[in-house]
Amino acid sequence: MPFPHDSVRDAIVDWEAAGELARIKKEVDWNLEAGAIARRALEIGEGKNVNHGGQPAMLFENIKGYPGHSIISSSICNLKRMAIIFGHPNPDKATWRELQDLYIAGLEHPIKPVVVKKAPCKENKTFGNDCNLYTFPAPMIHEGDGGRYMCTYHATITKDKNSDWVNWGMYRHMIHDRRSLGCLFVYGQHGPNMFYQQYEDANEPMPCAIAINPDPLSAIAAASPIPAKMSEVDAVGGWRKKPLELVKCETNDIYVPASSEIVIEGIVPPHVRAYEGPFGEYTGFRASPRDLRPVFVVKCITWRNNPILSMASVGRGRDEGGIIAPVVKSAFYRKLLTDAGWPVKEVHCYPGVADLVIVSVKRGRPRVAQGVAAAIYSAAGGLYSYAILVCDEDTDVFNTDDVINSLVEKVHPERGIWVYHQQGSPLQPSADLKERMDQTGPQIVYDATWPLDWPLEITAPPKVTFAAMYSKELQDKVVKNWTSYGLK
Amino acid sequence: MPEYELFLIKDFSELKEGVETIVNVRDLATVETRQVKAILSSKPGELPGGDTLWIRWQRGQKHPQPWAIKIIQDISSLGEAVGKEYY
Repeated sequence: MPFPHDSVRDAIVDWEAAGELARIKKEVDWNLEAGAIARRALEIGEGKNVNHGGQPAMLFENIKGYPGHSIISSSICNLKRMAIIFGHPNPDKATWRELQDLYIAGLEHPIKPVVVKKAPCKENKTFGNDCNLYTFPAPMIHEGDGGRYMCTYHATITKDKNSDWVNWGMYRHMIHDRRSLGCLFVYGQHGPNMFYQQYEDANEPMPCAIAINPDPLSAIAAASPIPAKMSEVDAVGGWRKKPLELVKCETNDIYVPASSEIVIEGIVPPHVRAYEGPFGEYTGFRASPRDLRPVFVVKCITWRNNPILSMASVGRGRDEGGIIAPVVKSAFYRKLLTDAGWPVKEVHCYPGVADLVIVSVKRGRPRVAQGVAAAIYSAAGGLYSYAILVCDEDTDVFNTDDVINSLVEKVHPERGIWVYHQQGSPLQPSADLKERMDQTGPQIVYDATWPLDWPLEITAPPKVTFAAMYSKELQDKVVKNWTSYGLK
Repeated sequence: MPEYELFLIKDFSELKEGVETIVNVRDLATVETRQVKAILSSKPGELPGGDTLWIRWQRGQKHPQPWAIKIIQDISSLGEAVGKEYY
């Protein structure tokens, strides 16, 4: 399909052509079986391209009890599938850094959307009491979760009460009944907290729309820490290099991607709470407890014929968050820190453990680790970056061995570890239960930079590597004669 | 035989045995949680006609010993119980 993909169906064509998608025609149960298949595939695939031993995205085409419906899972669980939707010229060889550059380029050249009157997501409509979320094969993803999670890879769209600022986010939603969903709204997030607080203070319901399986770049935008006041949809236009088509909701003034597979429109009433969760999360643990959380009441559902629901069987390893966050968070922080004048060389959020942010910096700035950490913690998404490792610029942040070497060998146990106390994440496994519920779990910074008062030539231990320990002439000689030594 | 499960928020002291009580339970067949009036027992043999009730802790861990539940009345879904006026 020509870039950009106007719908997830377009992306499915390209993923399948690249050998990165499997159609599962055997009947699969939405009740745990689909989630189990996706989970195992993620763990044994390890985020690799399929032609390097990874596992494909899965399109479950035969869901028990739901003829005509399908579920797609693990759509962005390796770099190649992400590169395909970003229009990378050579997806099989795409690097983390190249994807970051494509991401930043779109942010810096946003393109506004266009509004259309007719849209594929309007092929079917129900209103009011005719709405029934059980029309769709919402999966029970992990045994012991709080319920059927219909929304795990989607865009939750809300509007500021007092301005035109619209927020797209990816906040999980669990079915309570055929007309309501639970919402994990976290203090500090734009839509769920900043906007909802305004409505709740005024004792008014907040209009809301959930676009399930929009075009693939819209889903990426929803999962991204886009800065406040910037519109996610403009960033999508920038990545696509052409406007995104939006269509107005039936029951409110929110606009959704026109090609979305399913759109759920409704309200989040003030001061209404119901028990939501628990849910096995991207941290690799089911740490956040069942708790009273806001409720989304459904007013209208529209959907495409033969709709494709999305499912993220998140957990340990390189799931959707484990691949997307290393690109979007890293790019965002690289741009943020560079624009603010920090001497940053590279940023990389560790794949599969994206709450670890690794930053390499040029030498010379006092307290550079603490300054970089403060900038990250106070930016969008900062509460989900509770471990930061700051390294010297000669550390390759994309190389796990190099990163671990810096962490273990260069972080002084007394001088090099800093604990921060700002708003914590409700999903942080190391926080105790009260810290998770109050969002007061601490954060940690590891300073793996050589101290500024160490003269590098004399005091800093030299690296023992092929490149550092041997003259250029000897290195060239060894490389040139490599096969003649009988080596491959 | 129907099976249900419910989540504890703190501990077993939340559950009243042998008397009618209002609880939120999930039907394992439909996976929908509903508010019901029921009688619970930690000794299934002492609640004739009761269905199996599994207990889960706040983060989904399952208690190994099943309880029993006899549902007297189905009251509402979880969403309707708190937000019906907005439906």
